[in-house]
Amino acid sequence: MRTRFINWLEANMGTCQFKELTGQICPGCGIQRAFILLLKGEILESILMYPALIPMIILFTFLAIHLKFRFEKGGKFLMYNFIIVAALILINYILKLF
Amino acid sequence: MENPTTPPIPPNPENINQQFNQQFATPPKQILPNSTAILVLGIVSIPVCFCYVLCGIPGLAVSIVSLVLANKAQRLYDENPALYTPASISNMKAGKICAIVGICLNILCLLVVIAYAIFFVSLAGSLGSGFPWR
Repeated sequence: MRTRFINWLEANMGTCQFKELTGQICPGCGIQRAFILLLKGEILESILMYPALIPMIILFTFLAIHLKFRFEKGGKFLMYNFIIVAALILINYILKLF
Repeated sequence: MENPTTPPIPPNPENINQQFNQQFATPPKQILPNSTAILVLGIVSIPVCFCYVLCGIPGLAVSIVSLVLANKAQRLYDENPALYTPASISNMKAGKICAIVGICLNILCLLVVIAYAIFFVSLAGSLGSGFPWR
């Protein structure tokens, strides 16, 4: 069941319109492959492919929980997490460009 | 000689406020308006940045909306700081910083897109000028 889902994801990956138009990578390139690697259990390869994926998953799940339960320090944690995600996206993009 | 009894205080809006202020030290706190929208829009501004063709434009729109709402909420908070719950204030502040970071990243992506566009237009122009005219 899990492998069927992973195979379906691999067969139906969305294309990057920016890459189609210009042939250059965009800041989000690699995120789908990294997600599939994470589902397969290869965490290190997933981090190498797209380091901001795991903090982004944490960000969105915590955002959903925080909107429901309204933690005291939730806003601050989300802000620091967001800054980490933004920094990782930027560093990853610059490293992949050069 | 008996002291004359003082007549009861007639109810009027000022006396009701006095009784209210005596019963509660502070008025009940309310949620800062739009604080969750500010937080959610600020956080969503980065994934939107690279999801579309023109990287940076939808993200810029989302983060600017978030910043405008955050400035309005900041003015409300400055007028009356004690009126709002601390959770909603921290949501608003976090969302404001997320919006600012989102704006910076989206502007960078937009600059990259514009640089590529200029590069490709100039490339197409130089190829066109080399075309042999009759």
